[in-house]
Formats: sequence, C-alpha cells, structure tokens
Amino acid sequence: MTKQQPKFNRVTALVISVLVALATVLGYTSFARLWEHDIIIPSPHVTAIKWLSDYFPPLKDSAGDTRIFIIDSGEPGGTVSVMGGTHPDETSGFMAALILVEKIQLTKGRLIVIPQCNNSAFTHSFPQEATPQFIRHDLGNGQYRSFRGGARGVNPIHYWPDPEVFSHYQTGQKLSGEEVRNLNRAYPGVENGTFAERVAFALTKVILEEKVDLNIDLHEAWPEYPFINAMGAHQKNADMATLAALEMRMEDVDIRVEMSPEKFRGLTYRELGDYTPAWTVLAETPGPGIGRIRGITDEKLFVEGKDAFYVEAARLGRTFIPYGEEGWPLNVRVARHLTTVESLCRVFSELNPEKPFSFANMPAYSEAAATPVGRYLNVPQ
Amino acid sequence: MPTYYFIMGAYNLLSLFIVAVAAYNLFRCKSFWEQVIAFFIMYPFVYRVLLIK
Repeated sequence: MTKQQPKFNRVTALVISVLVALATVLGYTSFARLWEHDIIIPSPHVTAIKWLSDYFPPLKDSAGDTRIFIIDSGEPGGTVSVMGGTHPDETSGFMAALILVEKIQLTKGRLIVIPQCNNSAFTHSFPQEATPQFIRHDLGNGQYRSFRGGARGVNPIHYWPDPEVFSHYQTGQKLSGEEVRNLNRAYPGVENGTFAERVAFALTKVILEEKVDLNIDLHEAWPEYPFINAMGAHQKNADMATLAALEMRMEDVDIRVEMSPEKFRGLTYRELGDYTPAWTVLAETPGPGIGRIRGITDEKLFVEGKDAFYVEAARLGRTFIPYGEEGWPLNVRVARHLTTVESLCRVFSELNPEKPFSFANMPAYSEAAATPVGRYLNVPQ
Repeated sequence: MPTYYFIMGAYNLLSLFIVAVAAYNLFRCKSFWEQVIAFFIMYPFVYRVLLIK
C-alpha cells in the first residue's frame, strides 16, 4: 500500500504552479513591449513621416522596417540625413536624433532623420550582461517617457545562426561571424542578402532617392577605444569635417577628425561616401554603458554615465578620454552630437553656397549639456 | 531557416520535457525547499517555450 502524500505538499505544489504562470504573464508584459515601436511624438515642423519599406517594399511589416521623419523648411537648400540607432545600445545617437524629430525647426533646406536605423536591434537587449530593457527619461513635469535600451546587432531571432566568418559582400573583407548582424558592417547592402544587408540596402536607397547631400551617422564608443570624441569622415569631405571640428573646438568641445580607412569596409561613412554622391561623416561620443570594463550596467549608467571602474581606469591611463567622478552624462553626449550636426551643416552650407541649410532653434552646446535630455522631449497628450 | 526551425524545435521539445519532469516531481516531492527550487527550474523553461522562438 502506497503512503499518502502530505496535503501540505500538494497545496505548495499548486501554489508554485500558479506562481510560475503568474511570473510568466508578468514577464510577458515587459518582454512583449520590446517588439513594439517606441512612441515618438514628432514636432509640428515634421512635414512627412515615411517608412523604410516605402523605399524597399520587401521590408514591409518586418522587424527591419523603421520610421523616417522629414523636416522640410519649405526654403530651397541642401538635404541632410541624420542616422541614429544604428547601434541602439549607443544611447546618445538615438536620443540626439529623437530630439531633432521632436524639437528642431529649420530655416533652410531639408532634414531627414532616421532615429532607429536598426529597429531589430531595439527588440532585444544583452540578457547575459544584464543591460536594461528600457531607459526612462524625466520630462521635468513628473512624467517619464521610456524607450527600449536595445543591443548592438540585429536580434538573433531575425537572423540566425551567425556564420564562423562574416564576409563583406562587395569586397570579401573577413570579420568575426557575429558582425553578420552589425548594420554598420553591411553597407552599401545587398537586395537579397542577410537581414542587416537588406536594411543597409534600403537605407542606401533612401540616401540615393532623397538626393541626400550630407549624411551624419551618430554613435558611441568604448572609453578604452581610441576612436572616441571624434568624427570619422570620408576623404571627399575631409575639409568639411576638419573645419567643423575647428569650430567645435572654439566652443570648447574637444573633438578630433579621422579619415575613413579605405580598407575597413561596410561602414556608413565609407560605403555611402563611395556609392552615393552624399558627403558622409560618422560621429562618436563616449559610451559608458558599452565598454568592457564597466561596472553595474543599469539604466543609471546609460543616463548618468558615472562608473567607478572607468574613473580608476582613467587614473591608470587606460582610457582614451578623461573620466572623472562626474562621468559622461547622456545630456553631455547628446549635446556633443547636436553640436556636431549643427557645425557640420553650417560648414557644409559655407562650402556649398548653392545648397544652404540652417537650423532655427538648435540649442547651444552649453545649454544642451546642462539640460537633462527628457526636457527636450514632447509631453504625451 | 530550416536549420533554425529544427534547432529551435529541438530546444522547445527539450524545454517541454524539463518542465514536465520538474512538474511531475513538484507534485510528488515531500520537501518544501525542493518544491521552491522547482519554481526556479520551471519558470525560465516555461518562459522559453511560450515566448522565445
């Protein structure tokens, strides 16, 4: 005769089963939000909103589709495009582009902003590194808006498995296999290629069909990586980048210019410069949340940019930027990007008087650097 | 993609098997703490079966 199970254990088993179901439902609510597009509230100055699939229909309803915001001053002039979110975990690139969409007005020319170039990369995070799924911003009136934190590359759900070696389609350049999901190694793209190659192909089509004169791609870099607080420029527009950097230095913004290496393929400022008539620049600010020697990787690190490990690393001379107790807050990183965009556009206009381009209300560097990013975002109605 | 479907299908079958074993033991187990541990085994695998594709 078998022994009866104690009732207590069966009740506990039932309770635990219910807890498992409850935890799964609760987990689902935050996990499924990663698949939805972030709420972007365009300013009244945005004259058109398109989708990447309008330029390349095979992307329609796919995770590669993303919004494209066009701000047309109504005055003839140059066309500038700004790319953010090529690498979503490089937060200031996305946020600077978002501020352009939500706040900025032009007096001359046309601005095309793509704040989330790699939408697929916004649909996941780095779970093994405990990076935040969402990053919240205080709007200053008691309200918050949150955006997906994202990761660097295309979500493996959308492209898998990675090959052992990634080969750049046009040149055969060999990189490690995971780079197959890096949008900024896939340009100028391939019509029927990998996920990243198809998105890159669509973005290249945007540049060509919209007759973009100047493309600026916004990024962040590891503090221990030498290409940081810098602009990378294609050789054909080296003068523009150098003059813009000089202007920025006069505003006490420390920035360097490097030429795009001719043998490092697949990046925006290399391939879009080669394959389209556009002048191309890639800008890098510090990325405290992405470097390899960072400490706790939470929302605060991405927003406040303070990290004791980097302070120590800088003291030992292991970083390529100064890193003090004040860190590298998001507002400073975004201010650097906004100033970079404005300086490049101003110099572009000076060098191409037949293509004038100017902003009406771009905040000055000192103002933007002292203002929390959330203050520049629109309040949901 | 066929490789993806095959591997992910196999992962899901394995996950379902682990959930089934953990659930079977959960209802037969006499130790409270072993039942608590079952939660930590079942939750991620249920999550994986239902959400991660």
